[in-house]
This record gives sequence, structure tokens and C-alpha cells, in this order.
Amino acid sequence: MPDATAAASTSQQRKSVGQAVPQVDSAEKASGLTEYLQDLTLPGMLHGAVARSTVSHARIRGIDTSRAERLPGVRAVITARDCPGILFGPQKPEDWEILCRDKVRYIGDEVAAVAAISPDLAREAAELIEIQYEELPAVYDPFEAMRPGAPVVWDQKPDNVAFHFHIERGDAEAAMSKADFIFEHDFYTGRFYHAAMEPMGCIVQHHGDGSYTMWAPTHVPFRSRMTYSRGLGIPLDKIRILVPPFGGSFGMKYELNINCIAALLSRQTRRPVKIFFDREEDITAGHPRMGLSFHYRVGLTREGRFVAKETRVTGTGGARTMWTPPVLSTACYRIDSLYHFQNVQTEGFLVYTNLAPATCFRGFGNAEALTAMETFIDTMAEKISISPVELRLINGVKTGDVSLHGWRIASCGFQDCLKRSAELSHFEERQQPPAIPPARGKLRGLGLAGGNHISGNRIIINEYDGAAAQVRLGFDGHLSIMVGEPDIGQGMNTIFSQIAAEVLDVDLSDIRCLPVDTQVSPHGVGTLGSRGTAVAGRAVQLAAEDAREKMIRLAGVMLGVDAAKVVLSNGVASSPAQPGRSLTLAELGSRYVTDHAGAFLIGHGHFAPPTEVPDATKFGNLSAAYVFGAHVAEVEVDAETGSVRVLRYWAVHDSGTIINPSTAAGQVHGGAAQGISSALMEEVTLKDGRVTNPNFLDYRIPGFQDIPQIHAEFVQTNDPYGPFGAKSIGESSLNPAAAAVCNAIYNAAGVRVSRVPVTPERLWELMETRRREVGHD
Amino acid sequence: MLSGNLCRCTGYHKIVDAVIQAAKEINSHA
Repeated sequence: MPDATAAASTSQQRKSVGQAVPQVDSAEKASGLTEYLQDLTLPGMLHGAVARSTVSHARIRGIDTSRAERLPGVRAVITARDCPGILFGPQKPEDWEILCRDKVRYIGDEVAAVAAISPDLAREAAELIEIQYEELPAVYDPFEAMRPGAPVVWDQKPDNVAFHFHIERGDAEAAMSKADFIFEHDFYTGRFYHAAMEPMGCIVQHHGDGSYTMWAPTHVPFRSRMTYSRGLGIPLDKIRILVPPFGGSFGMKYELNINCIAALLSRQTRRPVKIFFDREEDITAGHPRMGLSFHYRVGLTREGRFVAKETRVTGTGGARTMWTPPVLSTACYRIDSLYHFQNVQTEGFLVYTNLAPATCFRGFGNAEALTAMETFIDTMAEKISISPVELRLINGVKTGDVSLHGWRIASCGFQDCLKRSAELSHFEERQQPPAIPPARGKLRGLGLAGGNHISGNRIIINEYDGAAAQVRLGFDGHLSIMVGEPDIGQGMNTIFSQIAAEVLDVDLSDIRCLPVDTQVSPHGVGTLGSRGTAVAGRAVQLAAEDAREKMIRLAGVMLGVDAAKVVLSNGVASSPAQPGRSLTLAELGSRYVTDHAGAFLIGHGHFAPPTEVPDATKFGNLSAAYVFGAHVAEVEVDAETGSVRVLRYWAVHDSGTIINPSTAAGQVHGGAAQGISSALMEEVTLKDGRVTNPNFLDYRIPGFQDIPQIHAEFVQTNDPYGPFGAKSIGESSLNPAAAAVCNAIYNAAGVRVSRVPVTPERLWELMETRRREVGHD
Repeated sequence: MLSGNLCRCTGYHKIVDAVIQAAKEINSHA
């Protein structure tokens, strides 16, 4: 494998890869010209609204839609009677109904829907729908829900366990009995709202031939199409999904039932229907990151080597299943490929409750697990008197390692990330935490945490892994890239363009990424599992290489020279054998089209990474590549109020070769900011199943003043599978952040937190309790 | 006022950078 020095020397010869170019659509976005879903209007378009349950759990005794139907401007009102009545969904158990048939299961559950000539009228009509309930006892806490006699959310799962995860490797019990130390740790990560600036929405148009076109910002257009076709009971090819530009997602815009609701409203009215959430609906009836409870038990040797880990993870899935089963699995075992625990025994429970269904969030369960484990590692380090950096270095994975579950770590800069982040922050020079938090004053502290992630995931679509791309040379010489992986706002199209520009040696302005369209784009797995750059990017590289070869062959014919003598450089084909003659991209493109009766020159590429479908014990290489990082936070705790400010922040990542240092740093800034906020500010709060902070005044996301200067740095490794050695950054940028903040709080105030967010009240209480305990000694 | 705006993607870094860069460019043309 080439070492870092070799990678650095080749990067100097590159023209596009490695350059900090602005995102290809940044001028359009900054000047407000991008057409998001909310900017799209179709002729005759109606607006849809959903009538939602106002109770947590009830049998539906009747629905009276007459008042809504009489409202002028209303074009359709639908209930479960108008639905195919199929249970479907993106994951097992399949528990989606397009509209509730017999029961409602959470406040916000979808009972009826309206199409009207304006969004306001549609909402007004939805409110006029009268639903008669026979209320049932409800359950909100997953541990209560698992107790015998608890209210049952779905009869098919009488114990309320929607999904159970189990993984075992080695003999944890035996190893634990021989350990020099055994420690235990409990941690809870709260319900966390994505808060994309653009709420969820869609436009669906029904056509005369029974087909539908859906304009839907979605990470997974091809999977969405499968799910919606099952729910609507129609063949796959009757649905075409077009992906407009995203106004943010962070995991929330995967597969959404509103697409099916809008489809039925459109079928009924023969008009296109738009459903677009307002902020309150997005928070209350949307799908937050689920609350997760972790219980860990870890055995170590005197030297600080982990020998066994027992894990129990419990997730508050909500009343229906979205992408939570794989999130729960990830929370259970991805961390086993960051540290060598040697023997593991893990149980995970995804539990039905009478809450809005949760779904995935950037980090996909691993961010939460790392928050729990990385705070635990600091506790253990202190108890056995080893530096937190050292304990991580002793147990962390390295290049060439194979993890317990068969994950092959082909490139790994974890050790360098830990050392560099500690060096930048002078971490080892930090002060001891106070034995008792003083009653007044500003307390400062440093905290460090590590993290890992994948770059692609073998089991998103079981049939295959990888990605396909096409690079097309147009009549006028412009190049178009087609992939099945949408740009979700993070800049994927810029990365794809830079990769193709590098291979073809053309200007970035000659390249355009076409919007994903399930009718014409390659059948993509989607933009998830941090697979955009590493997997789809590699497919783009291969497609561009294929296009390059075809362009060179054509140029050889046109110049009358052997193709081996053709040079493609700066967007011009020429040959030393024919000095003075050259061909532009437009000359190549138009010649190809005229020679082929209108067919374009198309380069095809597909990349199937060396991953494996895990066996029955969940053993098998899961990802194309693995990424690592370490963050250090410096915080200031107000001893009097418990409020925490992050003053300085360092983030060091191994994401392989960096295709674009500017957008990569942007991902780190945004990821760290979101992670810091998950540690300190944000939680969807509930009372009897009702969200008590359903707006941006009560649900606070960070503003300018809440986020410190973030120093982002990369240790460059050169991955053997990613394009030009590149790996992912989107999710790993968030993963260590919350634990780094929690560890810094301990260093500042001398109290360990066991749940996030650490609100001022909670921290104040922890400090007060500590003061009282010590006072009584 | 810029500080009253919310952003979920950038962590505000690139916005501050852009403002500083724009200020420099505008002032250099003055």
C-alpha cells in the first residue's frame, strides 16, 4: 500500500482532485436561484394536508369528513377506506399504513388527508375532520413497554419488541472472569431533531396511464420507489422519482409516507398534489433520532487492554418502523471495529412505544454508541490511572487489522488522529478536575474522544453493493454525470465533478451532474452509509476512465493516428504524430453523435467493493473503507448556573485522500456543530406523548454565538479502494463530538454526565449533588 | 442582522469566512 509520502507527491501532480474549489452550485445557492421543492409549482397543483391523531393510543370509532368536504376549495378527502390496506414499510417489521385503519398509535399518526386549492385551506379542512376515539392506555418508555402487562402497540408483537439484535464473538463471560478490572457504564442519548432548514415535503402527480411522478428530496430514490410501489400496490415501473435539490436532511429524508398520501390524493383529484410540512408538523410528526439507552460492562487487564465487553442497547423506536432496526444494530456493534474488545456479548432491543416513529440521523446509531463508550473509556482510564489517549492507543485498530466481526481495515489513521488532536490542544497538559465543583466561577476543561465510521455498507440493498455511473459526452462537448446517488446538499456533485475532471483533464465548468431520476439514472443504492465519495465516487472515476478511452479512440480515428499516440489534455485531444492539429471536446462530441445516428459517447463505470454479506453470526467485511477521527473540546462551565460554552475545538480526521479540502472541512465544521449541540442543547421533550417544544423558539438549535472556532485537520491515508484513495467524512465528522464535550465537562467540573443533552439544569443538579455528597463525608 | 439567522449545515464557519472575504474584496475595489 502506498504510504502517505507517496500520496502527497502524486497529489501535487493533480489538477482537480485535492483542490479547494467552491461547490459547483454555490453561486446559484448563495444568490437564491436554486429551485427547491417549495419553489416548484405545477399547473393545476393542489395542496395536501394530513389530519393527525390528537391522542397517543386509541381505537378509531368513526371519522366524520363531511364538514371538511363542504369547505369551498376542498377537492378531495381520503381515509383508510381509500387506501389499498397493505402493511408495508422500508424495514421489517412492515407496519406502515398509508392512513390508519383501526387504531392510532401516537399523537400525529396519519388518519385522513385533504387536497385543496391552497395550503391554508387544506390545513383548515384537515382540522374539520372529526375523529371519534376509544382511548387505550399508552406507553412511552421502552423499559415499561417491555414489562409484562404493558399496553401493546402492535398485536403482532405482544412484548412490544419490534426488533431484537444479538451478536456474540468469543466468550465474554469467561474472559470477564479473568479480567483484572471490570467496570460498568450507563448512558442515555435523547431524541434529537434533524432540523433541516427545509422541512419534509413532496409533490406527486398521477398520470392517465396509472403511473406517478414524485418530486421527492430523498437519499434513497430507488429504495423509496420499491417501498411506495408495495404500499400503493402497483408495479415498480409505475413510479418515477425525481430528486430536487435538498435544503438539508441529515438522515430525515429517506422514505416518507406522505409520498403515498399525496399519490392517493392526486389519483382522486387528477391533479398534482404538494404536501409540505410546516415547522411544527416537521418536529411533532416527523421522525427524530431515537432515544437510546446503553449499558456497558467492560473487562480490562492491568495494562489497559480490553478483554471483554457486554452491551445492552434499548431504543425508543416509536409506533412504526422506519430505518430504526439497522440504526439499532449499528449502535450495538460498529464500535467493535474501532477497539479490539476481543470477546463481546451484545443484545439490542428496538421497542415500540406510543411516540412518533424515529428514524436515522447522521451517525446512524454509531454517534450515540460512541457518546456512551467514549465517555466510559475516560472513566476507565482514570480508574486504572492511564492517560485517556494511551488507553485508546492500546486498544484502537490499525491499518491491516481485521475486527472481531470480520471487517477488514485496509487503511487506518486512528492513532495519528488521536496523537495529532492531543498535540494541537495540548491535551496532556490539562489540569486535574476539581474534587468538588466550586460554587462560583468559570471552570475550564479539555475533553477528547475518538470515533470511526464506514464508507458504504454491504447490507443496505441485500442483492448487491456498490454503485454505477455514466459519463456522457454531449453534442456540444459538455460532459454529464449520471449516478443513482443524489447530492443531499453536502456537495456530492462537486466531488463527482472533480473526480471526472481529474480523469478527463477537463475544466470543471465542462461537467454537470444530472439530477437523479429513477427513470434514467443508474439503479443506485442511494446517498447513505457515508458511501457517496468512496463508493459512488469510485464508480464515477471508472466511468470517466471509460469515457476517456472512448474519446481517445475517436480522436485517433479523427486525427488519423494510433490511439496510443493521442494525448487528452486541458480539454483538447492532440497527437505528437500530427503536430498543429487538435480537437476540442465539442468536435469530439458532435462527431461521435453524427457517426452514431444520435447516440452519445458514454463512459460506463461500476464499482463493487470487496464487501461480504454477513453470515448467520453477522461475520463479514461490511464496508468499502473505514474512517476514523478524534476530537478535542475545550469548555467553560459556569459553576453557578451549570451552563456550558465550548470555547475551542479541534477535529482531526482520517478520510483518506481529501478530494476537496474546503468541502471536507465544511463537513467537519457542520458535523462538529451538530454533535456539540446534541451534547448541550437539543432534545425533543415530551409530556404524555406530546412534544412540548414543537418550534424553533422552544427547540433551540445553535446560532452563531453557540459554535466555537473549529480547527479541522486531516491525516492523509491512501485507501486502496476509494477514488484516488478517498474515504468518507459526512458522518464521522459528527461521531466523536458529543463525547468530547462530555469529557471536557468532567475535566472542568469534576462530574460525570450520563445522558445528553447536558442542559444547565442537569449539570447544575449534578454539581449540587456532588457538593452535598462531599460535604457530608 | 446575520447573527439572527439559523444554519444547520456550515457550523457558521463558511458564512463568517465568506463575509470576511467579501468585505476584503469590496474594500479593495473602493
